[in-house]
Amino acid sequence: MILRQKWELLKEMSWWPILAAMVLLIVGVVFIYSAGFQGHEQPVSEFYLKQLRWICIGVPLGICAMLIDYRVVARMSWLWYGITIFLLVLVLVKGQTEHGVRGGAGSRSWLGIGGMGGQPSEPAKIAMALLMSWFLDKYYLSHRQRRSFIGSILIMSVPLLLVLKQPDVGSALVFPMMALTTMFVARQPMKYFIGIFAMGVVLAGLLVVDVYFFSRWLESPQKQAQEEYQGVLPLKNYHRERILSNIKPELFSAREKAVWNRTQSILAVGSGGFSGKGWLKGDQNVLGYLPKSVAPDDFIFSVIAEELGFLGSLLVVGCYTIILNFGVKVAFTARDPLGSFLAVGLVMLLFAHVFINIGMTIGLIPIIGIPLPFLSYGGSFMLSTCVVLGLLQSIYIHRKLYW
Amino acid sequence: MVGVMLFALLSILLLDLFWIQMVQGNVLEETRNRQSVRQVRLPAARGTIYDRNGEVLADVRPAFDLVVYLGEFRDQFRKEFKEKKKEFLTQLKQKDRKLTDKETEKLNLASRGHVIRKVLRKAGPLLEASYAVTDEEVTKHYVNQPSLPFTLAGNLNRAMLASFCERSGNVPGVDLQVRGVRNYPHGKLAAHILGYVGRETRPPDLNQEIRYYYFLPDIIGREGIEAAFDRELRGTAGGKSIVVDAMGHKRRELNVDLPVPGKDVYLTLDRRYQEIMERAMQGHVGAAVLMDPRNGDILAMASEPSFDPNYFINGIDAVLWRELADDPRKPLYHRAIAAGYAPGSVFKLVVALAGLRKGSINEQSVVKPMRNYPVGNRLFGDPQAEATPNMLVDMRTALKVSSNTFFYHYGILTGPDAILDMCNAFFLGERTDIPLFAQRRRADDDAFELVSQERAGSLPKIARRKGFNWGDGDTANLSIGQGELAVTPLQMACMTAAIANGGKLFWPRLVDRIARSSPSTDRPSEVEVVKVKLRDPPVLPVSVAHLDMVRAAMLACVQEDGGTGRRARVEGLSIAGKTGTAQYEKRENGVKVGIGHRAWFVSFAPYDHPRFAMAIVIEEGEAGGRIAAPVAEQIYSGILALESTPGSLPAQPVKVAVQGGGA
Repeated sequence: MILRQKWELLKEMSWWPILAAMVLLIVGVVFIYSAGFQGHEQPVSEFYLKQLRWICIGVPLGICAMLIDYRVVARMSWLWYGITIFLLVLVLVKGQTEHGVRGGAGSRSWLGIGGMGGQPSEPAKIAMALLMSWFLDKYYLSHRQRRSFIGSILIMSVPLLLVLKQPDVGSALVFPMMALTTMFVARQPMKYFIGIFAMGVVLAGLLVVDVYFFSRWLESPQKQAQEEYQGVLPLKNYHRERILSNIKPELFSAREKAVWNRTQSILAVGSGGFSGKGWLKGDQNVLGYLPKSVAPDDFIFSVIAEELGFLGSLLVVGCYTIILNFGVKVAFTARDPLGSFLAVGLVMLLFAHVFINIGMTIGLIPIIGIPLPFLSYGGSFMLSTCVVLGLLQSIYIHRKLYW
Repeated sequence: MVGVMLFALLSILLLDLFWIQMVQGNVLEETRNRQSVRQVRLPAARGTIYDRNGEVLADVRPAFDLVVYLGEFRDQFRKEFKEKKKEFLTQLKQKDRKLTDKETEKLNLASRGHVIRKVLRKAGPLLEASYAVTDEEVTKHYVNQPSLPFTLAGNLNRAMLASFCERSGNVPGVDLQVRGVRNYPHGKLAAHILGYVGRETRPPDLNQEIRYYYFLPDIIGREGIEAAFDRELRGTAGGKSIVVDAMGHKRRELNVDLPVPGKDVYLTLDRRYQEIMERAMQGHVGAAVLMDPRNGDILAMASEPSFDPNYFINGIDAVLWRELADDPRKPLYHRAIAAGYAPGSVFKLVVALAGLRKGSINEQSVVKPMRNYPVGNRLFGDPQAEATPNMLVDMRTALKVSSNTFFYHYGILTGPDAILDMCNAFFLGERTDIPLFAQRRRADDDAFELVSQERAGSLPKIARRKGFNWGDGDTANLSIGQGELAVTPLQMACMTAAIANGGKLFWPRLVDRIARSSPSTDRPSEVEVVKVKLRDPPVLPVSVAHLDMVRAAMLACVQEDGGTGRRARVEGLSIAGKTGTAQYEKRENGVKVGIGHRAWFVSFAPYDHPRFAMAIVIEEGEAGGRIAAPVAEQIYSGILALESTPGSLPAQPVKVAVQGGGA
């Protein structure tokens, strides 16, 4: 009975985003191989095999997420949220700086038990989206606007602050993008957004001032005397360097990491030209100018863009457009506000990753360690993106059920 | 609305991608190339210099250098610096103090040196013992030329090479580099002719088409044949592009453009004759030139004292250079072509020919030798007057015993114009265009230019200053080869050759041929033979009978008892010659301190069909007959001994083919 019901539901599934995701997964494995390639004399790093393993786990997980009614999942959102918050706290206490490829500048974001492990920040994003949409659904069109607003801000803030503490700025950026968009769609009052916007402006202003004085400090005699820089914001110096290297790269020597990754990535993407240099033939990647430590995950797009050229970029961006377009469609066609909100949150999750990652590889925004969905090497993120797509499908296939 | 925003942002991404990949793609690809492709210049192997028989006089041997790329040690430098800093501050008991700029610099200097010395230690105890690396060297190179390899140990010997190769696996970052080095296997032999080489000091031309990442300068000829035929010997440098990875390690090579090795230069010298001549000249200060009168080939040419050109190869060290430059005997001075001496009595040959030609001297001309011969109110000495007491001396005897009286008398009769005409006929006072050059730095623009090492010598000018008239005294002085007359040993050899061969005047020939040796076959290709050329006018304006009179007198000078050249006599070779003792004013700091002597001896042999013409000059030799003639004897007997050894005749047949006259 239940199987039959599910089978009927499956017919409703949208194939396009699945196809796009599959293309991306295959491209991802192929180019993770390339990113691990260091000439014929040396063995290829085994990341591509591990990635295959993660895909084998991730795809069934995504199918599960698809088949389960999202409302059931959302009803248990406090549980998910609680678990991920617990894990985020645990990672701060017992976590390790990542081993393997993903090496954010010494952040404690990786939690391992035995041989397994991952980054709790990835499921935390989904859990937050679930709880947020469940919460906003409760208060949708209610009069207790302030309460719903403060509540959702709190829901966003807890994981956000925990992730910032690691510190993982990339992931931390994703939370507000998801939350604010969901809140916006959930018709939270405009005045609050204006307030947030104002706060954002003030924060950005402070950031500008901070970085400006940092640039002055870099050239000042105090730097030579190795005095600490007293900033306005509680940022680490490498954050400032990354931001500054995007604006004034001439302040840094080319070998400095902040500038190096950025310039090398731009060179990789740019030198790809129209049709690229061919698989395993991207010198930026093979010769290690694009550091081998980040090429398979955060800079996988640079590898693809170098070896497949603009055509490859079009393919990748096209696939994401299909998936995101599907997500937006899901948000519009969801049978209830809960589904709609959840879809918006999840779409924003994917979008934030895609935009920030590709943006940083082409120098549009500062270097922030953040993976690219379906393409980048990484276990927990692979699983969570599969689940995201599964949840979106779940909302989609349940759109016509009215009970 | 949110959807629209998403797609707007995605289009921004796409637009930017389009901009970077499609519009700026080429520019970025070029930039990328610049960082990962390095142009390395491949200097060509310098050509070999051979003697006329194909014996090597200068070649290239491989030298091995141990080099490191300092850039690869950046992290180690940094680590060492941190440790040094900690240590330094702990010592001062001021753990948290910041370093001053000066202290930082000092610690950096020390830590870089320390790291590199550690690398040297790893390369082996033998190397560590033989080479020293100073902190300053390392830092200077690191700061100024980080992309060039730093030579840790240059010119390894066999044992060092072996010890390094044994542990090459354990020394990261160290490279063994081979480079071609000029080598003169015979050391001092013919050093002045071969010259020497140096490393090009000019920085690479920044405007040239290819920018080299690693510019290994050429070896360039500084003096002698090395300088004169530098273009031929040097060859054409090649180049290659190396693809390096982010660490600077070589990954693969692109378009290798092989260098074209330099051509080989074959000299007319005979290494064996040269050796004999230099042995005979040893201990003297002076020069000797041995020519083939049949074609002007220079068979041997020596200048003593000499130097070892091998010293100059890696840049001569300052002490040795000072030693050579400050030596009062001037070992770097090529006396055979660059020194102008008064010819002394050797010049009597010219005067005799001038007189015979003019008719002022004939077979009947005689004079009674006088101890002092008066010209006007001056007396001119004749130290040989006692040799022929109470005897009338004719031209033959006058040349044989070198009578001054005869030449005072008949020189004045002949007159200065006729004598100078004969000088011009012998091309005295003119360069012989021997291809020996030196590279000199021009003062105004610091560029190098080639300057001939040869001196033209000088002839007196008869109508010179106002208020001074040429007098008979001057003619008398000129007649015995004194006064304002300067000739080079090479010019004297040419003169003797012309007398020997019956009046033909050849341009002296030092380079026989230039050829490219091909590695596949033994036979050289592109052979370019230097033609035997006569000067213009090609013959002496003297009749054969007159020339024979002078030749007979020269034979008597050596072969007859009482001849001044008798000490040059060699059993089995009919040598003809003329001695000379030139006086000159010895000056020290411009002040006359006395009279010095230079011993001359010019000769040719065998008398009937001359194959050798030779001029020898020895500084501070008090008489040509006593000092210079025995040297000639040694040389001739050495050559004779060589020729009597079976199978040792010149392998290269002597070319007598002559190209018509003309300069």
